[in-house]
Amino acid sequence: MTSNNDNIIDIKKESEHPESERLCMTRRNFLLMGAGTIVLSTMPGIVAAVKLIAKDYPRQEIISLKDLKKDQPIDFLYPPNNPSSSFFIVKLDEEAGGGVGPNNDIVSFSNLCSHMGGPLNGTYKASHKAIGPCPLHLTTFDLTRHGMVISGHATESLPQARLEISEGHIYAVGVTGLIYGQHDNLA
Amino acid sequence: MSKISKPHYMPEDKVPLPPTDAEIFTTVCDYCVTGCGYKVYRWPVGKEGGPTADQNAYGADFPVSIMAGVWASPNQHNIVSVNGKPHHVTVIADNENQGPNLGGDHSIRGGTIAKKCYNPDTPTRDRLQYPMVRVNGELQRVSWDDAIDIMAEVSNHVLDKYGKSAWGMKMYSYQYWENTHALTKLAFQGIKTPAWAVHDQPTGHGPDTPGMADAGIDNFSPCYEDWSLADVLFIAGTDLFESKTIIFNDWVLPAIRRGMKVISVVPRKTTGIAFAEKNGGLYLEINPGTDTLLLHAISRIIVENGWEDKEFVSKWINNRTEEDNEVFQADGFDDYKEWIVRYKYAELDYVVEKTGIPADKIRLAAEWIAKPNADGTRKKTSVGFEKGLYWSNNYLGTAAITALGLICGAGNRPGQVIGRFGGHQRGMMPGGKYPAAEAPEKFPGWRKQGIDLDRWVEDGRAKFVWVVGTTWIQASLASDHLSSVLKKLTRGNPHQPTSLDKQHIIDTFKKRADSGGMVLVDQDIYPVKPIGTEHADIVLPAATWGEENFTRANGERRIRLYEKFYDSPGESLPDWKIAQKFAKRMGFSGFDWKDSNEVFEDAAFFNKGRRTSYVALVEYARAHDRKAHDVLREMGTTGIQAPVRWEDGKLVGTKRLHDSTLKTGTPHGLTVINPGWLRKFKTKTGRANLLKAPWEMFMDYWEFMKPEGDELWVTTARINEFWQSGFDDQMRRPYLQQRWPDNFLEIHPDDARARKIESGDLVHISHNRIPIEVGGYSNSEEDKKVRGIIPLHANADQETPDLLQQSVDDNYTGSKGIAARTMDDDSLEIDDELMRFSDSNISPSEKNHIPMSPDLEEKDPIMDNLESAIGLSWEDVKPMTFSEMQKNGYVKYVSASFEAVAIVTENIKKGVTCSYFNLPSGKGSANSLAGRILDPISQRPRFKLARGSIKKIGESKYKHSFAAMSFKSRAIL
Repeated sequence: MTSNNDNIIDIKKESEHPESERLCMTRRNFLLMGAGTIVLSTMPGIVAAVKLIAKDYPRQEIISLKDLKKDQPIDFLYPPNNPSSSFFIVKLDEEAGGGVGPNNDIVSFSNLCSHMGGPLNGTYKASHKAIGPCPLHLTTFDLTRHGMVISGHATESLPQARLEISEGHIYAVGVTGLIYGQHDNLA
Repeated sequence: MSKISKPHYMPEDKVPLPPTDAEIFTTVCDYCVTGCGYKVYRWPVGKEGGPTADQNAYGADFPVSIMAGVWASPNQHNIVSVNGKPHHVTVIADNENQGPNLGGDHSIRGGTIAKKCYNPDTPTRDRLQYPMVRVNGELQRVSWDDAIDIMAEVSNHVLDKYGKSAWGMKMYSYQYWENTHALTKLAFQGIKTPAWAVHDQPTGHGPDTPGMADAGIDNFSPCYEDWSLADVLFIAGTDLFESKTIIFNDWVLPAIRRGMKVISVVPRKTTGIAFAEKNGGLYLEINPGTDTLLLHAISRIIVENGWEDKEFVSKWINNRTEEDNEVFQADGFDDYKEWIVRYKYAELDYVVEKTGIPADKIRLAAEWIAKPNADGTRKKTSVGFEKGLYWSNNYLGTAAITALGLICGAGNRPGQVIGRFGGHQRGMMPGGKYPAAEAPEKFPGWRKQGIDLDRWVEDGRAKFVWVVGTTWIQASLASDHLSSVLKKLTRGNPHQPTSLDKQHIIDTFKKRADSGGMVLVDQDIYPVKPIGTEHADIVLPAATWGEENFTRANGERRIRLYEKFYDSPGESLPDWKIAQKFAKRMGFSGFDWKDSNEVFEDAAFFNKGRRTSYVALVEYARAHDRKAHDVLREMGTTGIQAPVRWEDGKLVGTKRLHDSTLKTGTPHGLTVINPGWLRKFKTKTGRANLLKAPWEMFMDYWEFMKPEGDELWVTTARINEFWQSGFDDQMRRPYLQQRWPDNFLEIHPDDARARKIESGDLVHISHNRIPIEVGGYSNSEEDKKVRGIIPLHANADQETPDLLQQSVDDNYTGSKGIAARTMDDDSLEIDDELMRFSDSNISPSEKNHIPMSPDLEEKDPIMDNLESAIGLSWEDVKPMTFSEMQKNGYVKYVSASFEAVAIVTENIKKGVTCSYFNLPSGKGSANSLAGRILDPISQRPRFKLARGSIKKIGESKYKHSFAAMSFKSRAIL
């Protein structure tokens, strides 16, 4: 099991019991809520929550851990089959906020600039661990800091896909932040 | 455990859509000079629109496509109170206006402006809601009536006992015409005090860019489109991307992509500079404060090679100076040329050494902007600048850059303009003349000085000061010193109220004033540290953007209505209403407005001859039996560019000033707004003046302020994510706060290595010899002789009445005359706006003007009274230079420091560090290190010049956090 977080639940077990997800507080639900709305038990592997949330993101396999090469972003659609929402996953080779993998360095973000939807595909900057500048108005985002704007105009951080690793495969399990163009990521 | 952390800001992943019946309001961003248009969609909580075009008020199918211009992010949504009922609002850039922002483009600042709205569930919950008085050291709620009674009683006491100039006001210059009109009407017509200053300078005096004014060019004459029409754009002292974002995005950026070359003169490379350089531009990495030298060197190369625009120069440059012994104005182009080719401080070697810019780059810049093409045609060159230039070396910098622009043929044609880019929007609407006769200082042979409020207060001359909408302290030079002065005069005085009894409070404050102290009122929207929270005796709650109907102009003179769309919190009131309450209580007439539209209409007639004139709009509205605000509302976020003209039956905007290509129609009725300076320059002849800018006037101060030993320059600059003044409401946005939770100091890797500093380390920046100008306001022989002090009530403590009278007579009848030179006439500006500053009691200059060349056209009567700073001899100027001030004992030295989080980056020039001046989250203010030594000619501050020693304290908590603050380069391309 690979995770960078000490609030770990066994993903393999969880995925074997998908029906239980809405009843039990899963890790992905926990992540959706953010701090302040949850209380964590001190026992490893057990998460308790004070509030449940209604929606759930589909779980989608992206790529196997071994196929993801350093500084080579891979694009995928997420939520699955949504043609308006392209994401990329990248192994930064540097620890990052929300990163997974043995070195907590695998992160995933929307390819649509959260300013006006400019396509960020192909603008990954390996030397800075950043993406951009957006071809429209030059916004740049810090991929080590949850997609925070480095310089530019976006009114939100670049939406970050929440990732999990299970048996050597990387899964997208949710999104933090509203994807450009949407009014609701799960609409 | 890893270093993974919850993001400081947890974004939402959905946002409500406005239903089709949502109400729509138009407004404009509250912040930078660009003034982007926005729409507010408002609907009651409980309803929601749907994702298809027929289900929402945007008329858009979701998800929307790239650049749709109707997408709201969660940070563009809020819940506000409307008549006490909760309503959703989304505030998004207007994609239908024709400027300044196009297609729904916006900056990060305006983009998140919905979060400015008061909502007790957000960090805006500490908005000021009730008037308060400090009793037993704590601010306690009182009624509006009691607060105003206390202020009026104390004011009357101060005015009776100490005179008008003992009553002071420090206010923003930009926060809406209705407010600035009412406040200045109170100060200038009601109280008649000269102890008045705006937020970014200690004196309420003259133009921000006097070198331009003296050349005859309005600094906001261009329109934004002009910045996209040049072949070569020369920019000094700013990156538009960082501080005027949409001027860059929608005008400059597309032009660069089309091939416009940009020359950038700054010590710090940020996104816009880097982009321009990468796309064929030139980056001149300059040492702070040396712009004048660079400009001289470029001008010299141009005239040595005969690259000047000869046709333009012969038609549009004055061929004679107006004065004898003139230190600034050239006697025509030939005289300018002769001066600059011989001027030792324009020699390339000297300039290379001081500016730190290689000679080949300086030569290249000259070639680009002026060398004619092989076929004899010329490139279109425009010249723009901002605070890096004019807050370092105000008069000389603005004079030198204007001269450079003029010899390149810029100044009065599309794409060939000279202008300021601007900081805040243009929100000053004077309600009266600055009462110069009540100010005590007049340097011999020269002019009446406006009061330097910081120095005046420190000298104990002010007994009651009312601060409106500005931090004052952090925004002033030598901030720490000012803070300690204010503390001593307020909380440090023994007379402090101990009960809420009104009479007790009034009596205590009178005793305060009579015992060398000062009573301080702070009016704002938030508790402002430290002036409101620690120093103020009375705190008044103001209403702001979105909470009242307001108007003002942007940096291309575009006037719009900023609509009210929600309730202001508690008992807060717009500033104009507070001024009105107080004025009425004092018995002043002329404050009987029923609503903000009436203030707006009234103000138009005070503003008739200014660049923002909108008398025509008001006359037009009245002729159609309508309110002027309503006419403006219909113009939406496009608005209308001033001066507004009523021609051929309709209202017409003015795209640019001094526009030799302008065609006008038949003017209507009483509203002829057609001064010569619409088509010509703003001088008596309509031709521009070439000004010499003698470096000697500034060299002493620059040499003193330059770093020694292990010190580095400590300059300040803007960051895109916070508009320059860092409005308090921006600090209350978790999204922006995660980006900048603390102040920063950019430092070059070589300088960092030498101090063992890494990005994320907390550093301490200090200096112990910061020069500040003090004293000068007494009636001592020295002050009278050196500074021409005229005894007034407020500084009468050292003179007998007879001597006072004699001294007044001496000063008014001296050989040079009191108004030998004023900067305070029709043509000149307070905070860049044209403001009547002169006093009618003062006679005009008695110096004989030398006859000028024949006018271009008929003489413009408006220009008959034109006066300016030109006409100064060295004898006039010398006593106000830094060296002379030092010699005469008017300079003392203080120490100060501030903390910041280091960002090690090659984007800052080696030897220079750069910080933000005013992040309230930061400890100490970067302006603490800036000397309080004003420009001798213009009395403008030199915020950009400071030096300091930099030491690592330890690691900041952000160094290893993923949750807040990024240390990445701001110039990634």
